[in-house]
Amino acid sequence: MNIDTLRPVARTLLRTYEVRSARSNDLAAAMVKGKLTSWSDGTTICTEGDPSDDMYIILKGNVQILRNDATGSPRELAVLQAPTMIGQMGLVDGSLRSATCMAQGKVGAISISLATFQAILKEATKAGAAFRHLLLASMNKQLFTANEKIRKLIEDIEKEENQKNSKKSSAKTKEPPQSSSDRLMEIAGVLDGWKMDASGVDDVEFVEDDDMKRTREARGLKKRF
Amino acid sequence: MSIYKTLSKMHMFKEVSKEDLKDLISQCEPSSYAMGALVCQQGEAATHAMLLLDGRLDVSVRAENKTRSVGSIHPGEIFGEQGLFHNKGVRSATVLASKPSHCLKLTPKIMKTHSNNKAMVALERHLIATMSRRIRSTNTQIQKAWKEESKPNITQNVPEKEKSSSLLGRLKSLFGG
Repeated sequence: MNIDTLRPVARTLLRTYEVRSARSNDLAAAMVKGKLTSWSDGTTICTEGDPSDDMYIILKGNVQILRNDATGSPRELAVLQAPTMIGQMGLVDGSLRSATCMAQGKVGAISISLATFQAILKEATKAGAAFRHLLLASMNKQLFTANEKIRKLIEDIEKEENQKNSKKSSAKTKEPPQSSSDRLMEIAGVLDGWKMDASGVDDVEFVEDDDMKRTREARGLKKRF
Repeated sequence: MSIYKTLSKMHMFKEVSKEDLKDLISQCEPSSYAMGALVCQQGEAATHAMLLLDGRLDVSVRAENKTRSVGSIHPGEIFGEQGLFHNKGVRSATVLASKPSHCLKLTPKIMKTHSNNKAMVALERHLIATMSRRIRSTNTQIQKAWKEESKPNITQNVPEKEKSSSLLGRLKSLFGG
């Protein structure tokens, strides 16, 4: 595993999480500090309620996210496709795993231990900055997406109440509406970083410094994003 | 008090050298607000975040023709970070100075060009901790609402209207309602 092989994954992560202030080469330099690991189909990657010792940058395969509902039964929250990252929130705030992650097919990942994670966060380098910016952008997206979903839920509850008050029959829908309970569970998943809307991925304005501008112009290339 | 003196007293910068702190200050645009002055307006374009140096700011959200107070910002706190990460993002709240206040502007460009500066590293780590607390606090309230909503044995005798009103109240409280 070297920086060159990780650069395409780093580039996708930066675009997915809308990071405007980091280069893929720098993020790949941070990722290379982790260890390569893999799981076979159906293997548990981490279990809800366990201590958070590592985070994973998924390079290949799909990860099923399960969380116990109020009755204690596991419910699928999402299936994440590579490249993505999981388990970072527990390393940030020391919380326990908020969901169980299972490998769907063969899954390859970079495992970053708590000690490595903390060391990267303290680094005054471009690699450290790229990793911090990825983390900050993902947390910002979690909060933004959750707030949007909460606002939508409020609107829908109010609409439903108004319809009941005016004794009008509720709008006919082809499918039964998702219950408030399910939507709250989904929002909790967003806040834990398990679910994320991909909207805006093609709308990232990259911040280009003078050094990058000179290199790009010397190669006769257009601005990438 | 100079900006350097104010920042050097903040816990997040306690291990940062004078040179790094002064370098960061030289790149960040300062701004001053008299009591009652507008710092940022809900709905306007968000292009940067701010670090409050001194004073106090009040945050409010306008919805359904009502303005609700959602809290205060104290010295050392960073706000408006949406402007650092969300392209074409807008301010989600209005911020007014409730005391004479001074701020430093943080832009994505400064974050990018100061990756070797330990004051910037300290600032980013402080922001990670701040956002993590915000996420946990929202999540705690959402999980509480979800658990209440999922208790059939307790809520089955509660009229549907009361049940949804109580959930509505809990959700609105997240936005100061």
